[in-house]
Amino acid sequence: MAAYEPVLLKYANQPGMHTLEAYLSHGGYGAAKKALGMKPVELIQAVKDSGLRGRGGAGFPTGLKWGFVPPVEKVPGPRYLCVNADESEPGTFKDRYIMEGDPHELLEGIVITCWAIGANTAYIYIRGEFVKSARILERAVEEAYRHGAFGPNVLGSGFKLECSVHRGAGAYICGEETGLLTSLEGGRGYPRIKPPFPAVVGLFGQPTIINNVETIANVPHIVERGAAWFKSIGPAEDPGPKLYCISGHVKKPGYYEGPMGVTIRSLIHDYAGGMIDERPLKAIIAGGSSCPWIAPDKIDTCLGFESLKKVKTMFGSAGTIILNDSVCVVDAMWNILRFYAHESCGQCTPCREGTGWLAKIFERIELGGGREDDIATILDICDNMRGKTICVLSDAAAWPVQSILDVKNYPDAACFRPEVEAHIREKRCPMGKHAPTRAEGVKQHGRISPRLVT
Amino acid sequence: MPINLTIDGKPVTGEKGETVLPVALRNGVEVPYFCYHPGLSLSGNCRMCLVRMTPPPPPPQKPGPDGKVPPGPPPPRPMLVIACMTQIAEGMVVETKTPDVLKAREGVMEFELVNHPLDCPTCDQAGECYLQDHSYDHGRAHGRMYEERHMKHTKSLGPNISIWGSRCIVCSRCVRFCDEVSGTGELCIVNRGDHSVVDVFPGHPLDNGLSMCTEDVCPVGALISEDFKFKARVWFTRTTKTLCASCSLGCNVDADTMAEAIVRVKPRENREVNDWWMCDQGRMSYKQQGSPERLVEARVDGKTATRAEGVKEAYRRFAGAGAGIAGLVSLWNTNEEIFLFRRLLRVLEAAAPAGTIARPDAAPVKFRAFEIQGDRNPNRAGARLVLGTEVADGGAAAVVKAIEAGKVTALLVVNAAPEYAMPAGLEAALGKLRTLVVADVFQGSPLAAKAHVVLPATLHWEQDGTFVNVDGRVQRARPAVAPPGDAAPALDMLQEMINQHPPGGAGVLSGDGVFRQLGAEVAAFREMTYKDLGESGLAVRQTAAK
Repeated sequence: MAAYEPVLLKYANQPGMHTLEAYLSHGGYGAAKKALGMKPVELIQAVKDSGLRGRGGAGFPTGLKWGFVPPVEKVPGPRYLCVNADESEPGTFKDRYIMEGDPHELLEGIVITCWAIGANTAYIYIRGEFVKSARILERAVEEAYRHGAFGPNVLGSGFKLECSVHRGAGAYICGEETGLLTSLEGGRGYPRIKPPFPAVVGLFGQPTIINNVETIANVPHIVERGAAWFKSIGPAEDPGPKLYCISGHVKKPGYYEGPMGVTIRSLIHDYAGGMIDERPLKAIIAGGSSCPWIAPDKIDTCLGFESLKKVKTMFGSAGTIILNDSVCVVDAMWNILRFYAHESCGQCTPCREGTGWLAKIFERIELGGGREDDIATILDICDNMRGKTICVLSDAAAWPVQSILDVKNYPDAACFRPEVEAHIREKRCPMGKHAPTRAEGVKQHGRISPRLVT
Repeated sequence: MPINLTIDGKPVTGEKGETVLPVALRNGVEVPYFCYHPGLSLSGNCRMCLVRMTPPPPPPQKPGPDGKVPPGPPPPRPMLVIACMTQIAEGMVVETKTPDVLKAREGVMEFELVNHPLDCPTCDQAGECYLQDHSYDHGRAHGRMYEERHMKHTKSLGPNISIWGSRCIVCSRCVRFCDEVSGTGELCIVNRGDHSVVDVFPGHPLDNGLSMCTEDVCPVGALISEDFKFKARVWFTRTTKTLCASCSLGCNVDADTMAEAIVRVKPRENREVNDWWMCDQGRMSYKQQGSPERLVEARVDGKTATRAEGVKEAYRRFAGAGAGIAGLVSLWNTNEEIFLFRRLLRVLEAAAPAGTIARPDAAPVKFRAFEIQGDRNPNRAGARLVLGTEVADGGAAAVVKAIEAGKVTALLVVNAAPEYAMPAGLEAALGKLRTLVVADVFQGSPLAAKAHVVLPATLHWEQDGTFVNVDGRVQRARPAVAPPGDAAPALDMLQEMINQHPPGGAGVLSGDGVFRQLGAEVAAFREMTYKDLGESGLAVRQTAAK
């Protein structure tokens, strides 16, 4: 592990850092002052030059996204910034620590971003379950108003900016950018059809930029230290500091800051202290539960948007989940699918019905009711779910399933299919994860047990 | 400017802003759908109308300063898009029968049925269900679903509508209807994922005046009309394209009948009149047709008679009454009947006036995109055209005055309204009449109770005829069922009376025959026949014939 000076969380672990006083003592809001002296086009260019890519999951170049906001002459009316703090991808818990540890870093980023895109209103859409984060953030916003970082005259520049924290009600789908907008407008969190993209028709029908918390938190540092500095961190195609979340069977699961492009091996062994009980690695979910799985032999892959694409998976929101050999593949997949079946908004047919159906099939296989034709059926269901819906939740549920079963298209995860086949062949979980007693327990807890078809 | 595109190899055109689905349907290309409805906003959630679309190629690159044409962007790749929300563009290529499209449709169809209870044998929608139709055309022959299905709630949403949640495919048509057309917003979707289902908020039932339209827009059997529930299998019903007479809007409707009884009425699309909607009150008005209170036999001086005897007697009494004859006709009678009524009075050389009786007005009921008219009579505009505005609006008062003055001793009343307001003073003046002939529809009619000759007439559900609606549109009602008992349309009875007058008539013409005569005499109906009116009617002629 090369020496790395933390950027995003440099001060976050210091006690009291969530207060304005502490933030100002480290030169806080200096970058905002500097940015307000620059032209918005210069700021957008600086972010473009830095190569910052969205940290929310898709890895879209941030500067490019900001550039999509149409000029006021073309689309008059207000512009909005929505900060996506609805961090709910299983395995991801990085934004929370920025908001709790160093909230003013985010707020300063909001000031700069709003100036760049010409927005006078910013909303922080925070996940409902993040009660503590929301409280800290709300206090920080109040402090920032008092400091003059928000209000009618931001830091004496004459720029007007209002910022408010909006708590969601705990739906995963509201982390999807258009679902977030619908929810923020007061509707049921249903994603919208794109195009039109939010940068053109977004919140209340006006141009809107939606950025992840970590993305925005990077912005003050780019302004302060320059695009060239930012680009020098990590690999050239996706540069910058990065928060990694690592969970699963490692000794020290948690969030770690490092440069982009840390290898999975380094993340497990250098950051997270290695595997629990030194048991062998079985599966890597690189970027959150929706990412296709990869086999343990891909442990030397760098964590980055481009490098993970090469092994047919995604960096997503950097929620790396490490599974050791105690895990049953079918059981783990059933767990993931239960999540997606529960969180599908129910708008599009393939996702609404497909997620639940897949979960039920995996449940049946795990509990010993596997059928010869199940794998073919599952793959066909996945094919019918992918790319056929308004948002990508449907795809997100299908990707991991396809990765473990579709050997042809996902050769990097080919090692998992034999285990699924063994479940079906032996009509039980070979790892003994779910004895019939467990199935009874499932039944008692109100879940429908599968009809075991023999 | 029309936009040219290709659908299944066929060049078609559409207007700017249109989406692929309506253009395809208009050109005879079948694209299955559930959530799309031309009268509602686009939702794009059912995913059934997926088609393969190749965007138009980018414009050719202009040569650079060095004369070379730079390499342009790669040619657009075809992709699966939903036809209902994809705006058409010049040069776009749409394919609806390619293997990937068929597979996607089959997939969506299979998903729709994953948690569907498949209870077609007991479902009222069976026979007119999108799920059945699309499953037959686009679905798989065999199911692959071995899991237990979710059950969702079955409950009453309001006085007229219940939901069978397990059949719901969450297309949101009903929710959009309540948001956009009735503007009342009672319905919402509760729960997530495959537990999603339509519901109402506690304490806010679906009770707006258009609530039963939600059952019409429901493509499956989830929303069920309490009135039609378990009443008939739709394939045993016969549909008649007719009109609703409950207000002056004249909603176009389909009356479904079984065994000579109307079992339900549904709105029929007419974008000039009622779009796709109608009010609950009008929809339920068919119940009057089969009421046991109907007048089904003729009476002469309180004694039962055949209708022919009644008609004969009525004429005889009028012929002997001299010039002291007046007449009242209801605003529920058809143009043809009002025209014959006018002719009969002329034939009898009635010197005294004529007038109209009407159902009393009510307050108009305004919804976001629909209005129930305050004038609760279907043919006020027609009566004004045939009789003249003065007679139609003020004639009744003149008739009453003439009776009171003793100038009128015989009164002919032709009524088709289930209820009507007695013109002021008429009740008291009735005693002065020597002859009162009433053609009426209900036994409880106050005028029929006092009449010397009562003739059983028909409601508009039982006869041919035209009405002119509040916007001046001539529309045709068709007989859905036969008249009860001895009842006959006033159209026939009036002609029979006219035919008795010397030199004697030629016979009884059909509604169309009378309508043509009407067209020859009244400019507003000039050169119109029933055929011209078609299914959606015609606006009245504005200028007089040259």
